[in-house]
Amino acid sequence: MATVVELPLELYKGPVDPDWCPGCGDFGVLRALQRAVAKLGIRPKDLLVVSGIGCSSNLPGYLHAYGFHGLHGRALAQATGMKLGNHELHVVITGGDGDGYGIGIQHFIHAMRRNLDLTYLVMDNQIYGLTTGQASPTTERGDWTKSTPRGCPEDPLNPLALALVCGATYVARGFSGEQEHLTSLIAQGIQHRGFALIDVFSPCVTYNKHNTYPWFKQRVYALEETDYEPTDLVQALRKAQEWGERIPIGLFYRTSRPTYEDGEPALKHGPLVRQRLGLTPEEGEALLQEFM
Amino acid sequence: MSPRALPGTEGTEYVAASDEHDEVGILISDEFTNPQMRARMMEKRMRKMEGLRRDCPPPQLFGPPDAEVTLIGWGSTKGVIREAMAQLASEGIRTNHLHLRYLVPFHEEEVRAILQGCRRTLVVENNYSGQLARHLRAETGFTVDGGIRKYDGEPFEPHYIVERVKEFLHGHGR
Repeated sequence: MATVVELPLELYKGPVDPDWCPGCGDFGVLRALQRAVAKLGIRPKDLLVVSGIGCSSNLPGYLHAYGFHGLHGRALAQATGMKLGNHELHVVITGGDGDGYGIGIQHFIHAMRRNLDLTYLVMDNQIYGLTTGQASPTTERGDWTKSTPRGCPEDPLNPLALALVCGATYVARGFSGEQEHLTSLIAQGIQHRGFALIDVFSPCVTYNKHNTYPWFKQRVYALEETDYEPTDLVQALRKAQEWGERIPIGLFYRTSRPTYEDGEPALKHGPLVRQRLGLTPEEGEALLQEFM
Repeated sequence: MSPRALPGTEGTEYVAASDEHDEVGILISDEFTNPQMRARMMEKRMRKMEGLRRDCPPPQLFGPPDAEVTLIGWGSTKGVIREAMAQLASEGIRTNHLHLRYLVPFHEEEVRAILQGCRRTLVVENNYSGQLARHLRAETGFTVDGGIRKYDGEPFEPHYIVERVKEFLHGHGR
């Protein structure tokens, strides 16, 4: 393995400062992502950060790297195409719970099933923040929001359990308020070959008055500080059900299986972006012979 | 237009954004509002339409230039119109065909010149409201003489067009 040369954090400083509310959890996620790629020595030219729509989806504009800010819920579909276009790039997807677990849920499921080599960072604030506070797929039952004035009548989605059964090969949860821990989870997720989900508690200080920094601080504990081993799917599923007075963060599950890129014959000769376009007349003739 | 740098290229990092942005990808749609830049970006994008129009070949009339009726269509009506033309020709009715491949951007000047040189014009289209006839009028100011429309969920067949053309000519001085 090549020696990793750590790069200076300033290299990833974006052209403008984020317009997130003061205290937003997303600041900690941006910082942790920048620290992770610096630690791994990934140069800005080799990093592509892809997002959909939402407060957290504005993240690609706030760091120095290649970025793509696309349509609501479509970040994983876009990232799939970009990764297949050049699978030597490090493709990181950033977005929120509404974008990923609501609007884009079908892409989420199939990207995990395919085990594309992608790193998906979900800034989960359990609310639609950009649209000023409506219930999202991870809003807890009973929570008051602008769209649930008598309390949310639905139970929330469990993204980690969903990821485990859909075939994600790296399933983790971080907390924006635990910077070192989150940085390590992101760095490991980027290094992991296969689909890595990192669901991050990223409090919305403006619209979610329930799941706040103090609320999480009192409850979260790191799996890495227990004797939990992230190698057993059933154990991981059981662990993913824990919620309430004690909430686990850390790596729930890691396994290895072939990535989508491994099985795609078109990528055998290197990234598509460096392959020749079109066919010679001889190649065209050979294809006709094969299929006619 | 600016050339596009592929991600992975050293020194040209940018964010491709769907919200309005400046030339390096910084969003200017909300916090960093910049009306002058927004207008320039819009004008730059719209210049693509001119380039596209130049790259697309303008439509041409198919068939005898002095035909009694010009049949106008787009998309899937091409084949059936050509079949109907052949049948009409065998009955001594000379028609020609203006098949439109590009609706946006539209070759307004070329199409207007063609239409002004036609004796009678009929739009063959598979919808109720005459969308192509309206598009022609919007883009060229030219109003066609009539339409052959179908909106029963089935495609055109040649005999349907042949009969409608004969009916039209019967009522329009032949």
